[in-house]
Amino acid sequence: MPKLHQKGEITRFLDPTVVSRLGNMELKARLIVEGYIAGLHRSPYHGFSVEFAEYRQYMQGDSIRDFDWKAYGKTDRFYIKVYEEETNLRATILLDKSGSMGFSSPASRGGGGMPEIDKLTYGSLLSASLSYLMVRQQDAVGLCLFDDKIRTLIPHRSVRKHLFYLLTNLDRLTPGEKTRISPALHDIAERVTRRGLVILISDLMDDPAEVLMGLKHFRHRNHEVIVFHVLDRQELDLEYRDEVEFRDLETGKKIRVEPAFIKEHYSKQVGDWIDKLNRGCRAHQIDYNLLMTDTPFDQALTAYLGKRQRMT
Amino acid sequence: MFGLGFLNSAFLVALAATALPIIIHLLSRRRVRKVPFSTLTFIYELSKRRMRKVNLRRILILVLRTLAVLFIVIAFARPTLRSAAAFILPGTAPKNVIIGLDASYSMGVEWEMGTAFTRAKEIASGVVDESGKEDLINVVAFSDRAEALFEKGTRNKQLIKRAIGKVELTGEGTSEERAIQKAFELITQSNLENGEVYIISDFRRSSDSTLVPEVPKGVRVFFLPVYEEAVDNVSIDRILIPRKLIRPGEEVRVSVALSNHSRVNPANFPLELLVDGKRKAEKVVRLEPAASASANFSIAFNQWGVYKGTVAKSADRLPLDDERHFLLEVSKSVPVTLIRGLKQHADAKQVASYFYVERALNPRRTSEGEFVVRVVDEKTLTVSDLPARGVAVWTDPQLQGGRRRLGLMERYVHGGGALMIFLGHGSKGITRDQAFTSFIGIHGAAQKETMTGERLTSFQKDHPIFNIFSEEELELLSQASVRIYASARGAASDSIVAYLSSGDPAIWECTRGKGKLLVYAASPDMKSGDLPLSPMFLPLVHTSISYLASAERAGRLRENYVGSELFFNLPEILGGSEESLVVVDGKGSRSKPVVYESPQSEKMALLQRPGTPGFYKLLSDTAVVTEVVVNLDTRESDLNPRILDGEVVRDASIVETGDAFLKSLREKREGREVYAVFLLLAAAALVAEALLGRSA
Repeated sequence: MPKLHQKGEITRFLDPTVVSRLGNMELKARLIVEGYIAGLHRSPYHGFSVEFAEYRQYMQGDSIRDFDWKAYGKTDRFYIKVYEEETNLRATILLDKSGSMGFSSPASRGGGGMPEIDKLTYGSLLSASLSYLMVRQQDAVGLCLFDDKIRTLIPHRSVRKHLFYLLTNLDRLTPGEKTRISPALHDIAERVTRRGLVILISDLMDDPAEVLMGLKHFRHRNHEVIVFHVLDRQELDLEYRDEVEFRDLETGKKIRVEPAFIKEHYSKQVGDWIDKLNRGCRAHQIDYNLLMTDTPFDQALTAYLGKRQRMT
Repeated sequence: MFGLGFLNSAFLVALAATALPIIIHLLSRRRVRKVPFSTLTFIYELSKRRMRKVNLRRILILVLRTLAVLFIVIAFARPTLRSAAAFILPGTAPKNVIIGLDASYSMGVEWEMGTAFTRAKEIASGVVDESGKEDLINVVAFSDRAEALFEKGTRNKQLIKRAIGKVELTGEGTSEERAIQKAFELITQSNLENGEVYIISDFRRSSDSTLVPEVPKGVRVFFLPVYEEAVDNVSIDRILIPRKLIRPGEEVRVSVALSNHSRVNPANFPLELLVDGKRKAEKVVRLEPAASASANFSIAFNQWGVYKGTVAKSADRLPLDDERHFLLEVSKSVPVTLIRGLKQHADAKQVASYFYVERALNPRRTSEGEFVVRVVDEKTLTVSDLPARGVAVWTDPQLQGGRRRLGLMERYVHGGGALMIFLGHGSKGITRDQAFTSFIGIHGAAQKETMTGERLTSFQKDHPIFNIFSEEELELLSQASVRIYASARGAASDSIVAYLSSGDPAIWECTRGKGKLLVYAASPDMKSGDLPLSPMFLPLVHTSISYLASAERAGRLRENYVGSELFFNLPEILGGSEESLVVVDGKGSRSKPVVYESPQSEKMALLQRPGTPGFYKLLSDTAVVTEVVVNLDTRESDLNPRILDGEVVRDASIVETGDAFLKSLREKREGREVYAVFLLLAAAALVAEALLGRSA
């Protein structure tokens, strides 16, 4: 593996299409996280632990609470003490592996070319990265894979070996059956009893009211919830030329339409649907993040870290 | 199709190109890309509402594309429009304009501003004015026949109008079909593809059941009825005079056939008989609506000669059929042709019977007697020898010319001739001939050996031959002895007028066709008896000839009609002076007849088409050869309008000729070239298609 000293080189691994072409899941997760961390111009997410880790040079934005005044006195330079964080967080990643998550659009809209990564790949990469980051921060992470019901449920651990186990599971993912998010959420909410962070990665292709009911169940159990709503940009824009016969990935139904004629109304409907989910989540203090499959992973990681910081 | 015609119809083959948008549409539908999609929830809802409109719009676009191609193809085929809106469009295709002008006698009906014929001419001039500058115009004047005024038509409108002004009314009937056929011929001969035929007529009853034959491609027929209301009219249809020889002082009955063609109003009018321009008789006639009747006049002429008669009624709106003419010949003498079968007996001691008959008819052998006798031999007999109004007397028939003579006599009697036959010594050989015995009315007669000493014993005393004789005279007649040469027991009993003492028929009569036959079984010669010496012989021959000459013949005299061929029989005495023959009509117009020889070797003069009713004289230099009368054929006197229904009119359009004539004509005529309209429509379709496509 090449050394990734240069900042530009490593941050490009935040691009989902680049990462998806790499080797195993661990490598992908590591590159995403390392890339993300290297890309940060400040480090607000270190220093929650009581155990000293290292010094580093002061950067604009660092809290003066973390100044090592002694080092300043000796060297006349500002150094910041960096502590390893001690974990007390249990995070549960809920990854939707239903049929609709297998959708990807061609790289070039409306034409041929290399396909973009599908939503499930994006979701699994995101799950792997988050898991990597959590385990790296000594947080316990569990994973639940579901479609119309729970397919895999991996309990919470914070050890590195557990991370490999998680990543292996994520690496073998294939799209499953029809989506029924709400029952799955209720089921998981019943099983994850201890309070923690719940991260839902899904395209939420279900009745918004039902989905929100499921999420509300977590909130009822005092979980903090982050929703990563993963969509392909084509699902938003419907940028197809000429007449197209669409086949539903979950039901197999077919319909022949001229997308150009319905695009405008379709986008509006999808926009309304997203808006409804977004407002519903906000109403229940749930962090809602809309991610396109071409969205770099740092946005998701930042959202997670922000949430974690607020929790601690 | 919607009154649309095409100047370049061959280009319509390109209409197949209209299938191109449809084929492209179908092919594009087969190339649909199949795309797996995460969920169709949103698309389903939209497709229900939105795609219905989209599909509708797509179909609309397809229709617009197809229409664009269709309009372009039609534009290149150079369409011409005949609809009401056509006249407001620019551009006129050059075409043939054929105007059919009805010159039949029913067009002579009088109107406020002249006759229907003058109105027809005005309408014709209107059609000429409305024709295009490049149109080739011709006029077909028609009645029973149709004639084009110009060989190939002309574009000179003034010339056409002058020609229309010169067309004269005829006394003939109408055949619209002939006029239309003639118009079609003219169009076919022209190098212009399209044509318009305008038939200007009163469309009264004619000989045609269907007026329009099959209309050729690119031709349109217009009917322009000059007037459409019913006109009351009474016509004199026929004059019947006895078909017989009329002698001075004899009373003649003239019967006049009349028709009231009005279906509503009765007719009450005076009818007068004029002879040589002088009124001879008058009577008032009343005719019920739609009724026909006869009016009879009785007149007598003291002087022999040919009289010109006219029957006239008070004039109505159609004066042409209000008078009718006839010729009446009062004969000074009875022409008799004596046909001798046997000239003399074989032993030459006795003369044959013709000798005694000739002497009986013309004892003094002068040309001024009551009977003018002409003797011909049976061998040399021709048709012209047989008198049209007189009597032929055939003595001792022998059929020397074989059956041809018999055929000649049969045709003569069937055609209305009168024939008297004396069977005699020379007839022995032919009484076995079945055709001959059948002709003389003794079916199955057998030869009987000569019987002498027979007498005429029993007579039909009320028969015209005998009713002038007294009992004594008849007794005197019965004393004469006769010899008979054939038993005529096959004769019908009611036809026998005298019997012999043996009980065989002596004299009998029979009718053949329109003519009459009187047969004597006994021959009047001295070899057969002493009948010629009887004082009653001469009166008997006279009463017999007079009876035959004055007998009214069956059938009617042949009538000559205006427009039909007019024949004159030429007498042999004319010799080689046929070059000087000329026909003069009642108005004094002179025409040269055509002289020809009939199949029966008779010389005839023929006038092709007498144009007006009246008396026609055939003159040789200044001498009158013969005179005939020409009358109107009144089949068109019924002035009730003909219903121009679909079967009669077929593809023709009817143009109003009243106050709205020009408007109606403009609406119905053809020939506006409208390719620009179709190009415009194609452009509009393409623009609409582009706008629809963009908005989609």
